[in-house]
Amino acid sequence: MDLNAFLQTLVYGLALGGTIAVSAVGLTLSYGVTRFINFAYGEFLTLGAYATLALAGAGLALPLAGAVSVVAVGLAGVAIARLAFDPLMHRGLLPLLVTSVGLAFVLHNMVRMVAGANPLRFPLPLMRPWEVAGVFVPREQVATIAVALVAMALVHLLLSRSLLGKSMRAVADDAALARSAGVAAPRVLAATWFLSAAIGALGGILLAVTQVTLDPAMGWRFLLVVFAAVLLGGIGSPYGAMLGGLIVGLGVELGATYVSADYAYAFAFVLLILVLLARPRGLMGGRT
Amino acid sequence: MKRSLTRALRRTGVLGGLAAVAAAGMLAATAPDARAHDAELEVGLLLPFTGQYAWVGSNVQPVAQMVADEVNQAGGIAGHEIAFVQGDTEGVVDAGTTAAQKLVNVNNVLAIVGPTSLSFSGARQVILQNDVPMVSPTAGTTALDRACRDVCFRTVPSDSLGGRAIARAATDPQYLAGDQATRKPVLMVGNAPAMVSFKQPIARAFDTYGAPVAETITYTPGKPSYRSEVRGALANDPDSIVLVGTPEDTARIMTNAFQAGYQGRWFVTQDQTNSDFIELAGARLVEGIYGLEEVSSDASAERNRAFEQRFRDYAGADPQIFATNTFDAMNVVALAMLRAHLRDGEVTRANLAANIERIANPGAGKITVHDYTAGAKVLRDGGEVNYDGLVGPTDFDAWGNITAPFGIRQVQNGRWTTVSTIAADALN
Repeated sequence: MDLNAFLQTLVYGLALGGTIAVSAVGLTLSYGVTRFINFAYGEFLTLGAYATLALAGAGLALPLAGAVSVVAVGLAGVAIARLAFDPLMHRGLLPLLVTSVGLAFVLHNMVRMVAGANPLRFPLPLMRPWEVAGVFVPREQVATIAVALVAMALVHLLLSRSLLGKSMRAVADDAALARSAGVAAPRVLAATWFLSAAIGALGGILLAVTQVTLDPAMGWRFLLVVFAAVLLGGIGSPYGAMLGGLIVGLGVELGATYVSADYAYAFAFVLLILVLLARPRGLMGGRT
Repeated sequence: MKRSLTRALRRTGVLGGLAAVAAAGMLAATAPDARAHDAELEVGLLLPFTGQYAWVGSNVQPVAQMVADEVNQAGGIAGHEIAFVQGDTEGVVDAGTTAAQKLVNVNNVLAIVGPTSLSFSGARQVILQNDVPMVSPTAGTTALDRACRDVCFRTVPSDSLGGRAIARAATDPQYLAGDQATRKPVLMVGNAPAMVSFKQPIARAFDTYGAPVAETITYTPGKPSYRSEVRGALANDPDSIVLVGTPEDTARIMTNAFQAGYQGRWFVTQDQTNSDFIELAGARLVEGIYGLEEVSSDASAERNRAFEQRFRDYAGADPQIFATNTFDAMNVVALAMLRAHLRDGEVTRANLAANIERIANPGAGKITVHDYTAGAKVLRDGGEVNYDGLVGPTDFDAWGNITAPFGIRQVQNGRWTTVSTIAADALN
């Protein structure tokens, strides 16, 4: 085996895996607290990417545009949840699932209406890669991996060290018990929606950096890969989602290199099936 | 029809009304040619109007409407106006099947303009089983090369020809802008019907021209990045990469290759040979790449300019990709309808297909025409016409294919510039 080719593939896989991991954390966080899979989550990715493009077009520096977009999409996530999900919270899973699918279409078409259906270029300068011991390391991939690591570290600190994180974990474990212990469930719910949408927006920005172009369906398309990472890691487990994202990213790139470029995704999903056969609750034993 | 249906429902009650509707439906299903005697002659536009390829429908519809308006303002076909029914294929196979079934069996259209390569495989059986004449202005797919005799026509050259044109240009410096001939190409093709269609023609043509493809990489469309695929392509140390993909994937692959240090040549297909692609990919990235485009013959260049001005006056916008092909497709359909009415006394699916060849192909004593108005005058005066279109002679072979010249373009200073033309007979 050509070691350089293998290392090169690992670098590519880590960058893609970082993007998937960040996106998967946002989805699994909202599942952990609300117990339903939000099919509109992919649209937060799309909104994040398009908002960054719009703000950068208005003259903001790209990192600042990204930061403002993350906060803006987080707030939009809270508003959307208040309107569409909160009134249905006590009516079972099915109405929430159906609403989230409908919401995905509404948001998708809103982006299309405002920005148009044609793909757009993400305003990232064209850069030659660094060459380290014969391995090409694209600069924007280094930035992607760094941002993903920082984001995951912040999520870890939030969940393990802050009162909000502990409250979120408490509601996720047992909402009734958390309420009786004085945890304000509505506040925790709002914070969860904010975090989920904001992390989704960050995932969308990283996705835009990775794939160079934006289109209104980008989040919806990427959702399947994000689901795979969430399930692989164990649904409801943020740490599992991080691990699942990295494994899926590496699987896609290793599959494209060593199996077939035509079946790159198939290789990642074969991995998912194998893991689920051995550990039906995913790698980190999340809630099923 | 609507008023009489309401009366029937009132008189006979709901059950009777439903029976009347069912009977009307059965009559319509068993007598497709009756449409010719209704107020309008309906033509189906079987194209993507939503989804990733919605731009195809947006490009085709206004041109088709412009020709239909020309026909209708001249009194229509025996007083019947041409009207369109949309069948939205969404650019996918299954929606294409559903849309074709609706157009053929429910709307009972006389002819279809479309489909695209993306949904031809889904629509094919419906079209063949019902003998509905189709004239596609967009489907270059090789699946149509020998798909059906007599009912399938297209006013766009086959990808077989397009593939040969790319290989011919890449291996022959006379068609390049001062570059050496390609000796070691790599072919990258997206795994979707419209793209895979190019795979064999390009690979075979490179073999024929003495520069076999070092590796063919078929990749999954829509992936966020193609770094591993690009790494595989570059491992062959190619002097050129021929890339067949959507504009988005092409921009991604070219960016990934740039980031991996590739400095060789690129050849892309018609979907990328436009200013939108330069904007999407970035002028710096695409400077110097070669692209393929269908061009008008020298003889039709002046008519193309007149068409562009006419369309601008009509729609207030520049004609887009497939506009000239649509102009030819609709003129062929309209002239065939008129000839069917004048010579056969009726317009049916069966005689429409037969008349398409009669008005489009050359023959003794035929008068060459370039639009509906001129052709209609000749036909009404008792003559026969040979429609010669904007894309070329529009002479169909037994399988409904045409030949056309191709232009080789290169991005120079951020703009596509035509550097050479390959005549249709140079590709035989």
